[in-house]
Amino acid sequence: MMKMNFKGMSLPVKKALTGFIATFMFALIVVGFGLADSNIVLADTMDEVRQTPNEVWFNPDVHVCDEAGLYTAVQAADLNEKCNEFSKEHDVNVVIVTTKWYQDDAVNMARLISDKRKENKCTEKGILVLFIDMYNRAYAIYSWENDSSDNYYISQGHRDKIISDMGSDMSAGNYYEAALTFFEDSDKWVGYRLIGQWWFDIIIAVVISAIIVFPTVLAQGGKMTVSQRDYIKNPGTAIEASRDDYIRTTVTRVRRQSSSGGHSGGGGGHGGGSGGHF
Amino acid sequence: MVINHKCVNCGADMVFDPASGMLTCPSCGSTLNISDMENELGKPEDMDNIVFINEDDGNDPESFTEHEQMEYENENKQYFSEEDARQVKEFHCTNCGATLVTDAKVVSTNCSFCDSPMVLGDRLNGALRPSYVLPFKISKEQAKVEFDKWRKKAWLSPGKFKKSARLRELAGQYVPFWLYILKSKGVFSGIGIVVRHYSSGNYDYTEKKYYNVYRKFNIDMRGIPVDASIKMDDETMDKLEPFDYNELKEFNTPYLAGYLAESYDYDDKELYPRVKERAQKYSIDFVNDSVSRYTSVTNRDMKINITPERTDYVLMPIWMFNYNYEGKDYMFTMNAQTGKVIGKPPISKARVAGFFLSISAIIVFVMRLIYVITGGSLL
Repeated sequence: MMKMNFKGMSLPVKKALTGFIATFMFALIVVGFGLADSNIVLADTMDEVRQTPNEVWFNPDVHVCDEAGLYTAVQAADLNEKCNEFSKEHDVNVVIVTTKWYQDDAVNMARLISDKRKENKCTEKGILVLFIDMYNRAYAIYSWENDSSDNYYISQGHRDKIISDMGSDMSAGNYYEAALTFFEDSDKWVGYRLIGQWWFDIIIAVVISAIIVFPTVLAQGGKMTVSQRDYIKNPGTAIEASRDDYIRTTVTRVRRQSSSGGHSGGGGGHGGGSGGHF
Repeated sequence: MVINHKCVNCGADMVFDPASGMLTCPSCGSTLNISDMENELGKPEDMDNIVFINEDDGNDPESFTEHEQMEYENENKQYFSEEDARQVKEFHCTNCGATLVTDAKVVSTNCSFCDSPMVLGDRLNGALRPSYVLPFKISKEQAKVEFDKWRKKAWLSPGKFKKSARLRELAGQYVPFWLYILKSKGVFSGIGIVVRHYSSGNYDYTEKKYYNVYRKFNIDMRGIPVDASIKMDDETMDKLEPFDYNELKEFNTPYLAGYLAESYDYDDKELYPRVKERAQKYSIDFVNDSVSRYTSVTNRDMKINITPERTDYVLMPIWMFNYNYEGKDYMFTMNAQTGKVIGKPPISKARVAGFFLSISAIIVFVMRLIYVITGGSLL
């Protein structure tokens, strides 16, 4: 290791050198502390960023993860309170995630949040994620029931409606108001099922009854009971020539919905999510 | 010529008895086997075996040529002079001597004065002579019993209909029909598709195999009936089918004794469009059966050539019921060979509503039960 010799130097030079080293060391300490405090992940490439979700997203007790800084402290606290109330009322774990980093596969990120929260002892019946990606200026809603990935806790149509309702506030930068709309709409449709709705049962019953009753009433007058078999006689009847020439085969392939244990499927707006841009 | 069959023992009027299939005297019970009786109209000139049922009688007439077929389809003029036979409208009852005026189409009736059965032989000659008759198999008493059974099954009708409906009229009648023998030849082509679904890994597959399908067919249709009476509702007559042609008899007047009968209003050429339409439908159904192994068949192209081969004029038996219920008349028709009843009974709105609500309630209950079993809440 090189040993520095200050003996031969004049006093002004020594003071200048000492000051420079001290300033450099101080700067290093300040920058080091600053990086540690900001909780910002630095990366050389975007690939590293998107593969590094924030651990706090996986904590079922944290409901507002405002990494992008869209809400004031008061708003964030208020939203957190609303999430708590909503969770209790609807038995669903709500998380609002805002990020300013590039996310190319938001559905899998949301699925990862859902799975990790379950692992971390999320006790609610389902998980509802509002994901706002400021890098792409995109936002999306994801919902799953804990016991099945196929039964989305809010239907596709209702998720699309919520996204649409939030659209104007998101575009205007009113993120807090947009979040309030998210709660208001979700309150109507979370856990909503056609099956189980009394009006739906009654409509199905009325339609099936009509299909049974009306032909029965019409048949009271008697019906035609003969067919071609009553009048076509053998011999004298025959298919005299017959050909069935093979032409081609086509096969279409559709990926099945991912099972409840995994989260690698989906993408492109499918898999329990609806999204939009602003 | 009025034909009246008198009992040789007691002189009473004999009638056809559906139970025994013989001419029977209602007074003394004497019977006559009709097949042993001489045909008072004489031996028919062109009488073949009953070709509607014989599967290989070797007696098929040659198909019409194309020219003959066009002539058959287009020409409406009568080949036979039947007008003369229909001119005479007055008859004298052979029993009481009363003068009777009947509709020109009536060939069998009862005297309005003494109720003696009369068969008007003059109206059964030439072109008006039926080839065959399907005798009554269900008697008047049996018809009432069968109809009461049917009424009890009409569970959407008011309960009072069974009790308070009054039978105003019950008449046994022979209805004129034409039975057609037709040949249907043609070709069919299309694209047949066999669809198979299967799964492998994380994917669902739909496999479709396409085939060029070709069929050349030759169909023999025998005995398609078309009613030739202007008074009878075509739809009702169609619904009365089928008739069992095994019981067809060569026509003879004793079969008509005691029943109403009228000759045809439309000849076989006039009714040909109706039977042709049915024959085309049956041809399509026949070909569909032959391509049933395909999930679907598209690009269908079918050429059908229907050729009439033979027609026969036949009388079919029916019972006509006229019921009055709450001031309104209801007509019912029974196939007097099979007992099949056609006719619209009165419908109780309350019963229909009850039926509708019962089914709805059951469906809602079942849906709710499944929902609760699968973890949903009752309300």
